[in-house]
Amino acid sequence: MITLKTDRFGELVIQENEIIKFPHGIPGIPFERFIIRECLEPVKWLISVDDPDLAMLIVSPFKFFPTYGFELSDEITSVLQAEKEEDLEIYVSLLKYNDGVAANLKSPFVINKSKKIGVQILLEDERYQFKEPIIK
Amino acid sequence: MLVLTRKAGQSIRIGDDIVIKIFDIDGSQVKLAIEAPKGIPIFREELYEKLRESNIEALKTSKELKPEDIIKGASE
Repeated sequence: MITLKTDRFGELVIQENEIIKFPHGIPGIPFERFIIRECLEPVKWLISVDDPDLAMLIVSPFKFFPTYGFELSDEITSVLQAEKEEDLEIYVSLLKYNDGVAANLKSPFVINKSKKIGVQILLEDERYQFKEPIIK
Repeated sequence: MLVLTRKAGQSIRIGDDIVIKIFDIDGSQVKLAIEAPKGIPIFREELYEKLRESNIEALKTSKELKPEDIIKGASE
């Protein structure tokens, strides 16, 4: 168990078994260990364990973009140690869009919730943008 | 920075297990074939840079976003 004092979340108590390792890291964040916490359903926080003030809002994209989807490469599947699709959770980060909100559909987070391994992938698919408005 | 001259069909090797081959050259475009261990992320630089910027923006603007608005957006 780790207890951290943070500006944003107050005292944050983290169990070892909730820590998700991102072996490739997350570009722009120099750490590999993260946790996911509820914010306001379905919105969640992705929080760096090593610097909990590094946190972003994430959400499952399918509620907002019902046709969203992509295929995982064998390489990524092997990094995630994924055996079945049900183990995987998909999230996209949320960003400000003018006065509204956008989602980064171009580089989703794929997380193996049973093995606690995560990867941020980059989709070649031209349909998906780094800033896709949810609310304009 | 190391600068090497290569012809089509030739390769460079980085460490034991990364090989970058000049697959084809067509005018100003160069096609590369990259062999690297499974799971080593390979990005086009300009896309990696956008990804990094997007993550930094998500960290910065998370303080200003209101989750209530996002949920409202979903139900509209």
